[in-house]
Amino acid sequence: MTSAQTSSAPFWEGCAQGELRIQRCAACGGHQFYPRPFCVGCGAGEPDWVRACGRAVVTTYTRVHVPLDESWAGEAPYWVALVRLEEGPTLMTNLVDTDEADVGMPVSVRFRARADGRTVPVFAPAIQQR
Amino acid sequence: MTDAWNLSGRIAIAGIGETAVGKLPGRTPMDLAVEAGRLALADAGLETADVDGLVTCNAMAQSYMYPAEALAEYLGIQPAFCLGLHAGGATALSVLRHAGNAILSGACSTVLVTLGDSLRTGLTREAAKVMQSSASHPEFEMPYGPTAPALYALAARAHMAAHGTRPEHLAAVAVSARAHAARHPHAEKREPITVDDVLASRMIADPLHLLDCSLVSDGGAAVVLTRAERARDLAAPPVYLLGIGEATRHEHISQAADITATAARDSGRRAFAMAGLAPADVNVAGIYDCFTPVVLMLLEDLGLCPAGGAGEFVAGGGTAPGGALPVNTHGGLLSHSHAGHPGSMFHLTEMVHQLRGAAGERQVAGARIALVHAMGGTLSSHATALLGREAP
Repeated sequence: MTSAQTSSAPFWEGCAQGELRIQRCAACGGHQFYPRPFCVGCGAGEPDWVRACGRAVVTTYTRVHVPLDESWAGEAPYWVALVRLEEGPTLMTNLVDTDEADVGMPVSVRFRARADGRTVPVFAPAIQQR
Repeated sequence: MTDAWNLSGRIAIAGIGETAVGKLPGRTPMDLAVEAGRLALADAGLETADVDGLVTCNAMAQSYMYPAEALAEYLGIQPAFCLGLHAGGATALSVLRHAGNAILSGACSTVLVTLGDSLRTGLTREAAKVMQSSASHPEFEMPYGPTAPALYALAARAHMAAHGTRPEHLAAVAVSARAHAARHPHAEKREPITVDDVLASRMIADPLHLLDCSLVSDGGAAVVLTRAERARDLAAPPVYLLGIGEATRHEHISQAADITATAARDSGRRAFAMAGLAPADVNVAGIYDCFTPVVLMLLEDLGLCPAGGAGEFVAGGGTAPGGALPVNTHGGLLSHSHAGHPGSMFHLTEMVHQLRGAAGERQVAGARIALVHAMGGTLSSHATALLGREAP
């Protein structure tokens, strides 16, 4: 994998520790993902890294039957989704531990180690809290 | 925009060229671009030596770092305006503005725009994989295994959730395209299909079936652009550029602020404003159709159908032969060919055939105004053009 951004190291370090980290701008309070060395909303520099709560909703999804390449062949069919974090930003992810999905479905973050040694955030249906 | 840079009615398409499409083994993207370009010049009654502006794109099956300069060298010309443009599927239309501006500014007088690629026979398996991956963010999307159809399946699912669009509506787009292609002598896929055929074809990325996906082709197409008054003295009937608009809202699909609202809303509004026209004025359209849901989204975002109304419009035959707004009368990327960046050039040349009244069995009676929309990336780069049979 090429072109890891220099500004994204805290994100990947967080994943390795089981934390979903995004950026928050101290000037305007906005959250952003993917990471940048400035706030894409107001332009202020050096946004802070914060731990996201890990709750999100599915904004759209697909189940991929013809995989990207051989490394995904054993996974097919697999879920690819966009989820909107409670803090605001949207990210692409895989849905796991589910046989169904729906737009608006509440999900929460999990972490999975990949063959390349990287740990990535994935999402599973949220357990209803009482 | 000041009047000095309003292209409307001042630039014309003076010639078009199209190569064969499909499997063309042993022919490089350069070969195809050169053939299409020479056909377009012959159509206009011009010589290669008349070309003082040249535009092409990078080809996926042949890597020139400077593709336009490489093409100029190959043709043996030294154009004053030489531009390699990379707007993916939107290149063919985006270039109309840049070339038009170059002509109006006096930088050049005759621009050849020619695109060729050989995605079908020219790519190794590894290169095809790289090409498919290139639309996704390498660090924040690729780890999740998104295929090109999957990215558009995400858009389709969002449209379904927002508007009640059904798989049958998506399938109707493919059926309409095939019905047009059946009337085109050179389209790759000409045997008629039904909605049931589409829904019974292999599932690729839910809800997209195999027949919801475009073809993978070799091919090339070209246009010659010049000032409107000069075009009137050339060999082919001129087709006038009435409006052009470009827009972008994101590159990567996960960064789209609203996946159900594309930047076609902006590019279309800009094109209609330049032309002084409204969606109701359009008689025939060429709409980028890499996957079926895109046509529904674009018809709505361009104002050609109300929001959420495109599915029923297409299912009712609105875009099919004889419909209220025939779309992609050559068969589009779904049934004519999809050679990558040159893909949308065939939408453009087909609309020129229509406005010349030279589309044969596919001719839309009385076609005066055509809209062409092209798109690159994952709903990323958009360009809309309005073309007319008469100068305004």
